[in-house]
Amino acid sequence: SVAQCQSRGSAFLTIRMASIIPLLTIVLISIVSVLISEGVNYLLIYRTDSYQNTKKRIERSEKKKESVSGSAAKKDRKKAAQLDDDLKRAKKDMQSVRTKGTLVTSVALISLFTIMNSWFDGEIVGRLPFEPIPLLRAVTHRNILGEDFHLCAVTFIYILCQ
Amino acid sequence: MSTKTTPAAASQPSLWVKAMDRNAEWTKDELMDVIFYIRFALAAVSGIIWGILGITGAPGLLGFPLVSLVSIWFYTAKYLGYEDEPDQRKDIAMEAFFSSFAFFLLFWIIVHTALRG
Repeated sequence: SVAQCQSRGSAFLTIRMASIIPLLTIVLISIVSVLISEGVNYLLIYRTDSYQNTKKRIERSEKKKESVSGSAAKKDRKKAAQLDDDLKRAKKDMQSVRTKGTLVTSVALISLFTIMNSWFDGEIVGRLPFEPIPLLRAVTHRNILGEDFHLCAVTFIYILCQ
Repeated sequence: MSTKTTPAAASQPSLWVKAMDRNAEWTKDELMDVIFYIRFALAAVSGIIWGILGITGAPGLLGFPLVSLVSIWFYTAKYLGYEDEPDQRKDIAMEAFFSSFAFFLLFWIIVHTALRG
């Protein structure tokens, strides 16, 4: 009877764990994709000399600006204005670099979403512990048959993972 | 913001050692980092507990934001004694609020599906 209880218990656990395999797959794939896209960004953008130099330029200009900002002297005000211009230019350069990074990440996320949609489309991946408002049902109950809105589709889980 | 002047430390304690110290001096960035991690840890733990206890519906959805806000207020205002200006209270309250809520939902859904799916 102990052996029976143990085997029933492990069978119960197996069934319970099996029900969350799609959920865990989606989470794991999301984590891996974020790691890959951040890795690509680091290698192609954040590690480059131009990014590092721009970052140092901004830090230097901000420190210099801080040191002259309180002063009322004409020379210091002129210097502060010049530093402001330098900072604006450096920040603009930084912005364009960051935009490239954002683009890489966006392409990765959209591709991944397309792939996961094709794998799990119409499949029930989880059960929500709440009934979503009608506005959200298009996302949580996407392509799932029936009126039980506790059943969850891949789209909602993917959005939560982001 | 509390602006007590401090002598420069020869070696800075780690953020986590500092987080336990009631008399530590905080910059806003450091405090926000700690609040970020606390919120995410709280989200994971709450999601698992809510799922195990079988909490469903609106009480579950509203419970986490309440627990999160009260915990962060208690930690910053009471435990650390961090004196902030009124316009910074909103920053502290809202730091990582929505992303931790999504994290909480994920854990809650996974545990609920595993136990009752």
